[in-house]
Amino acid sequence: MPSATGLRDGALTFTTSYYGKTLRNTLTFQLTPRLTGSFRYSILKDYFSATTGDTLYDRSFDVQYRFVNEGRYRPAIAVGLRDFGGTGIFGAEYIVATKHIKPNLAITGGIGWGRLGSYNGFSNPLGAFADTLNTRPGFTGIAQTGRISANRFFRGDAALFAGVEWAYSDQLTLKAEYASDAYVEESRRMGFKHRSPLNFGLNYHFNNGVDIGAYYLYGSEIGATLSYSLNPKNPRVSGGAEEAPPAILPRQTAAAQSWGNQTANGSKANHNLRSTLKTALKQQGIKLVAVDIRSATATVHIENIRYDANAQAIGRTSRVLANTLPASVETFNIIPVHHGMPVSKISLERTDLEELETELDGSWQSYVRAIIADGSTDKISQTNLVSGDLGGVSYRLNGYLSPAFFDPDQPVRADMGIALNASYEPRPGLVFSGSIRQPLLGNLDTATRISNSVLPHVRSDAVLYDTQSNLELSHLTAEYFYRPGGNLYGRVTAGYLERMYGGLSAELLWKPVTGPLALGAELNYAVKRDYDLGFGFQDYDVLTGHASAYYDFNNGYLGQIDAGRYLAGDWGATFSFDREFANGVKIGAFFTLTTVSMADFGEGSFDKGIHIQIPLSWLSGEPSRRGFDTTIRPITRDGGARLNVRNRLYDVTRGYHDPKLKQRWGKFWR
Amino acid sequence: MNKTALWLALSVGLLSACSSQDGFENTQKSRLLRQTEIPEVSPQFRELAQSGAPALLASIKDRDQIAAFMRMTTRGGIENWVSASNVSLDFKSGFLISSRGLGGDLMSADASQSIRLVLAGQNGVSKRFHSYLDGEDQTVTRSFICEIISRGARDVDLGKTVIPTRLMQEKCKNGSQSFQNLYWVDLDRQEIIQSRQWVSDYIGGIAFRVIQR
Repeated sequence: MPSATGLRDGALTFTTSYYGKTLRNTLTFQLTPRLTGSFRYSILKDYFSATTGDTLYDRSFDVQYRFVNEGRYRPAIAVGLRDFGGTGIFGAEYIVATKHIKPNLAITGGIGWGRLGSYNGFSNPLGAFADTLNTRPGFTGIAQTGRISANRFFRGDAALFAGVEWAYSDQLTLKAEYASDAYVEESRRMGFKHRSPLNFGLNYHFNNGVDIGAYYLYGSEIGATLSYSLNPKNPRVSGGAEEAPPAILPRQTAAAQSWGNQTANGSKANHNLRSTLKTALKQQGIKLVAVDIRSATATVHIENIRYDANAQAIGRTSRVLANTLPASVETFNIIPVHHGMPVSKISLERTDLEELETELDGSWQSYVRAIIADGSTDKISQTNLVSGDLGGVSYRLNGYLSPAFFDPDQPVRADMGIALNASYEPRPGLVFSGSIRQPLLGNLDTATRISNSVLPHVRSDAVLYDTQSNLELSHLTAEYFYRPGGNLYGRVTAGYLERMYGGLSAELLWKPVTGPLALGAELNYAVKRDYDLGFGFQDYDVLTGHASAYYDFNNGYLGQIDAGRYLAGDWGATFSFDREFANGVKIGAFFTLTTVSMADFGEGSFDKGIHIQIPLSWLSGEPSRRGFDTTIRPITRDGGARLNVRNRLYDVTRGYHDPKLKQRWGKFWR
Repeated sequence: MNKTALWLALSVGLLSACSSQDGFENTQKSRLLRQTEIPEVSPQFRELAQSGAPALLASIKDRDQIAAFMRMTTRGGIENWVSASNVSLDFKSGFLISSRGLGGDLMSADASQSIRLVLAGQNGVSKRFHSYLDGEDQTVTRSFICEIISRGARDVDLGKTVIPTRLMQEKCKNGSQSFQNLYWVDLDRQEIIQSRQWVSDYIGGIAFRVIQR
């Protein structure tokens, strides 16, 4: 039964419940304080017992919006749609009100349509407005799945439901409800027995976010539920547990300690300075790319290797500079680079750093005094370049986990293995890189469902890639990053771009260093790779590309529209909306509508999904630029499919721009 | 007392048992979360220990942890102390005004009113301000009203000498938090040689004591 209360803002909850022959797994996210969204994967055993004896695997989405907040006398009131775009098996609409009589006692009442209007229903009160609302069109077949079933909303019989919830303690809650769902289909198909509309349950809450519950349902069934809730606003350690930054030394000590030379003119002194700086920055997880000192100004190009909070990398770089450079240097220009391309330029005064290091409001004051500029004219000159440890070569060996969801034969599959990444940067901006990986254990190659798509199989052949490959070449590319002008960023990538495609990709991004709007354009020539993920190609190529608009609402919400041509040659647009927390946790949803008809698209009708990103630092309390990043699609088909090029410029640049820098400037002094 | 000496000996003895500095991409290990392993000793701490820098013993009550700190530098009246595992603490006239590397750190504090009263041995009321980072790295400032009273003379045994001190108590609270700090002020030098100071909800209180070397 629904309730109008919703979850705590930002909460992400995973719930699994089992009763009768039904297993439901639900991911619920409180997208805004009032808006709740859920994705549900249900397994109904014997649903098709009368015909094929098969189990039903169903994916559905719910939304709820609370349009009245609870007041002193006024209840919270919300409207909700269940399963508004799936098979409609769980399809229902409702209006619900909840009021806390006492802090620990809440009563709920509401009216439902669809499933929630199926027990003790009466003719639709909305029928007074239009006769068409009196009947609810039936579900017409699997081909219709995925469409927004607006022609059914709030139609047909309605029924009332009610419930009461009493919190005995902070841990234990007791519930009783009168439910208006008659379980018609489950009774008919699965032998479900609906003997009573009354349900009773109890829920036990553990302080670590886990809840367990037990229920007695409809006079016949016992159910159990387990849920885990996480609050993105509460990372494991607030402020992080990483080691301390170097304290700023008195200026004379700093100069004397580091290299003991008053003038930076001598080439020997200059060499010493560079190596001292390089070593001190490396200890902080920062790579020194270039350094240039002219009288009172020092300009350094750096690459942030360790910190997810870029402001922290800027803060630690400035501490190292203050402890290393001659006393005469007053201004620090810190230029973060992405593979040699300047992304922005942060200018700080040394006296400000000395003054604000231990100030109560030091973070905000240092942000206000910092100048954040574009950096497009601050290209790295060859004379200032600091040589890398391995002459520009770097490599990394790491494990990987690659999951696949929702195959009816086996809803969750995964492979684990090792990946070797290597890159070579012969000069700033130019990178050759590659990645090979070897699955060690897993069952992705046991999938047998071959695509029935009538479109070119641009994505739906994933199973063939998994079954026919072993040691795979994940990517092998040459990339070039450059700044064509102020506020402009460019990228050209050639080679084996991603797992399924190779070719050429070019992108141009316009993004001011402050301000909410960015615009981009990308053009790609893509050729489908062989299923063995070696060097070969198949006989399918396409010209694909998008014009993109990005908008950062500056309050944790991000919107993006990409319009253009997709891999199957279809034209259309992708709409994305994300909630992003300052600590890097990001949860959002997207959908794509293209010229491919819903019938040609097949099951699901159009491409859509949710996207979850959780930084490692959020989980561990230690800084890291890595994290978990997953896109969950109810089903992957061939319409509305985009190329997955690495290092798209918006994500490469925005971390060093406002508002992102500002949002995490608290970490500047951490 | 014996424990103090033992710990200093231990931490200096461990200076030779250090592991190599991590390179890039190597996610650092969480230091204070695993106390069973031999702590890494930073080269900086080793240098300070060998040069005979002033030392301090700190013990985090809630975590059952204890560590030695060496004074790294003094700038503008603020002393910076570091531990072998690279936790750092800033003190102003013996008052802790920031911590780094403990998790849930005190970003900075303004305790100037309390400092004046405690060092002068006067009873009185002061205001104290702390700033922290919340779960989204936003700075939050907490203000406290504190009552400071003298609890009279106490002798503190530092192992080599016994020092006559005055024990000062500082009781602070705001709408949702409260804590009590204690300071043992050396009567001759007007310096705090031992104290118990609250840092944050996450860390709790830390007890400090000067180590005589």
